[in-house]
Amino acid sequence: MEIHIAHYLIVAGILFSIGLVGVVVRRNAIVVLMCLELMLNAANLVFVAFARMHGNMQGRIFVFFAITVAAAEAAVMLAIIIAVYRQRETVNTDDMDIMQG
Amino acid sequence: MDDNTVATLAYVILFAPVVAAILITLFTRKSKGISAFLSVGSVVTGGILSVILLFDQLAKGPGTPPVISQFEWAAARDSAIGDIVLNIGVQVDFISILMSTIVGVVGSCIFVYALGYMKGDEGWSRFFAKFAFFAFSMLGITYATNFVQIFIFWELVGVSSYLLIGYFYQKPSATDAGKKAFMTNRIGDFGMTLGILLLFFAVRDVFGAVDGFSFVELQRIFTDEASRTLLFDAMGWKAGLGAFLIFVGAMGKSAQFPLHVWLPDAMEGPTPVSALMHAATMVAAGVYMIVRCYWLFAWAESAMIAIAWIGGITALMAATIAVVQNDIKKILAYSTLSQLGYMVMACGMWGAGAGMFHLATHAFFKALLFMGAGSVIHACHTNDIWEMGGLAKKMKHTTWTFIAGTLALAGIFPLAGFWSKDEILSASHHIAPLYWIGVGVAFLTAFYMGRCVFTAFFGKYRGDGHPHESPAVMWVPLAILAIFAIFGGWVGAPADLNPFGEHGLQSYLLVAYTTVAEGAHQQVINWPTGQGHMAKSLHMNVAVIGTLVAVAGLFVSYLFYGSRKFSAEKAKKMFGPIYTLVSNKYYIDEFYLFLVKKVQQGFANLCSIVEQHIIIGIFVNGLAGGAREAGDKFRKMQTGRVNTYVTMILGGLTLLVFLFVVGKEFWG
Repeated sequence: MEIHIAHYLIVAGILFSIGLVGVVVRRNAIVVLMCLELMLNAANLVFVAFARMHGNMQGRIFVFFAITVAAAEAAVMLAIIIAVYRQRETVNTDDMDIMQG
Repeated sequence: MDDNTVATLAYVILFAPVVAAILITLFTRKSKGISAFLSVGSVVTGGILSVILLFDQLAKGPGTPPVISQFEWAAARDSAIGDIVLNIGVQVDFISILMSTIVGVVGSCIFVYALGYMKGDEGWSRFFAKFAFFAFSMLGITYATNFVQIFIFWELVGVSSYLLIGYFYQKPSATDAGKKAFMTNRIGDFGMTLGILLLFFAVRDVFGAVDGFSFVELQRIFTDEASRTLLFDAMGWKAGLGAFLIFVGAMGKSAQFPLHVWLPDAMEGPTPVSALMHAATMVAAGVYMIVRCYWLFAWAESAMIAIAWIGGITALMAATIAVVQNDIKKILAYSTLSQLGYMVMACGMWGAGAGMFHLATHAFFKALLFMGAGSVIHACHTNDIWEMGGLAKKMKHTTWTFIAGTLALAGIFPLAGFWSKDEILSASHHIAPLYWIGVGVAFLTAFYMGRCVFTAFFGKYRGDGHPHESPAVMWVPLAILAIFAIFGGWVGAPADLNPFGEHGLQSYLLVAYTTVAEGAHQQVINWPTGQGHMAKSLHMNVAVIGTLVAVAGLFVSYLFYGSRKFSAEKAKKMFGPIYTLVSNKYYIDEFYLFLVKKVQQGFANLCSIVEQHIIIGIFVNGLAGGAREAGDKFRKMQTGRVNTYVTMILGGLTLLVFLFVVGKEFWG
């Protein structure tokens, strides 16, 4: 069976959906963070798939940048989560509601 | 004198008092002597200069054209609708000089008298500053060249009367009286504003770029038959309305029914203020304005009839109230009301000359009577005539001058009041009911003045003080005014009895206003010129009847209060309900109180309900409350939780995708 562009996109869509559902339903900040990474990588996968289909480099360059930025982002987010944990002794997002109106 | 000198003198007369008032207020409040000198000096100067102007005018002869000097004060220039220019200046003619002489001479006597009366008062400088300002306001009306100027000074008279009536500001009744005077006058002034504007715009519509405020311009229009017809055709019934509205201003200042209520209360001010207000300034303003604008009134027949009747009603009503008053100043106040009614009545029957003449003589003897009353009050420390009595022996000068004033007011031959009253009765000869009202008022006048004199000056002293004659500074002005009250009327006597023959006061007065109104006599009321007030000789029947009722009035009052042959108490009982009605001043004050308390207050309450519940309840608080409620509901969306926000983003994204993709299919 030949691997078609649609297969890549389906996998990326599944990955993105899993990430999105995780972000919405999970309460653990760490898990939310991991789900965000899933969504990010779903997007990266789409980039790479299209780059490969078109046979050019633009999509791959985007992915390099995205991975780099995601690494920095993950570091910042973990730092924030640790800071919040030190302050409130919890990583449950339901308890982080001081901005409530 | 050439015109320039005349105008300059008029400016000096006009501005001297206000300069004095300003100097006193700003600089000399501490030094009583300088304040009094400035104030009295400014008015005496005005009096002397006025007399000089008067003699100059007399030398020039009747019918001298007016000297007008004015400068532009404010202007609205518009080439499309024409300029509106407001001028301030002086118009010097016989009428204004006569009025200014009355203000100056009577005012001088009153100012000198005030030096004695106000001795030891704390507010001495304040009093003299306001007093001079009052004189200034009145002189401004006197010399006004146009309606706007007369209106400005009209208001200034209102302000200064407010200040002076409320002079004893620690006394609530005095401040109330001041407010009452001011507000009642404002009602009249509002009518006057409307009348002036009505006339102005009517003239503008018909004649275009004519100064519809200027007396001279308006006089020219009204005197010329062609332009008058043009204007009256254009105005229709509004001509009479305009004239009447302007007269409403005079009703306020000259205290005509039903705007008379402020005048008796104005007695709360110091007695010199009452004297000035009742004689030369303020109440004279209304009558003076009618004479000043006679070219207008003379042609507005409907307004004239209303004026005559209002004057007659005021005269009769006030005279009856004066009969039952016990306060000597109140008696004189109602007497002033009644005499003003007389003057207005005469003006309303095309007898402006008679009205002006009576204004002049009345100014002298009413100032005299008020100052005499002030002297008595000064001595007895009471206003009640029943606590006086027998003062003739103790206060000779005051008594004799007061009696001279009484006889003049009653109209006994040959004192001043006789001649002017005779003129008025002759002028009112044409309308029978008003003539008999005039005669009745003459009787009542003699009666209440007789009552006052017999009770206060004769019989036994009933008070518990030690009355004594007032100082010379107070009785000398009285004596001067008494001389005027006794002999002053001769100048206006009919030609064959007048020491000046054909050149008496009337010949000047008549020319001053008949040049504009002569035609009116013939056309509007269809009476031959030369009747009524234009008497060459005494109307014997009018004079005899007038004198007889005056003597009868004095005699009846003697029977009641002098010899006590009749009992006043019995008469009181006999008249029963009428006495109650009259002694309560016909319940007019109560009626106004009802209007204010019930009708106006009711309306105010209604407005308050509308404001509270509809405007505030629905529009102001309703809108704000709605916004707050909505905000309260919507802020629940802000949970502060990341998951909620993400869900919302998801929802929003889905919606957008739906709209872009699916929606496009349907509506694209």
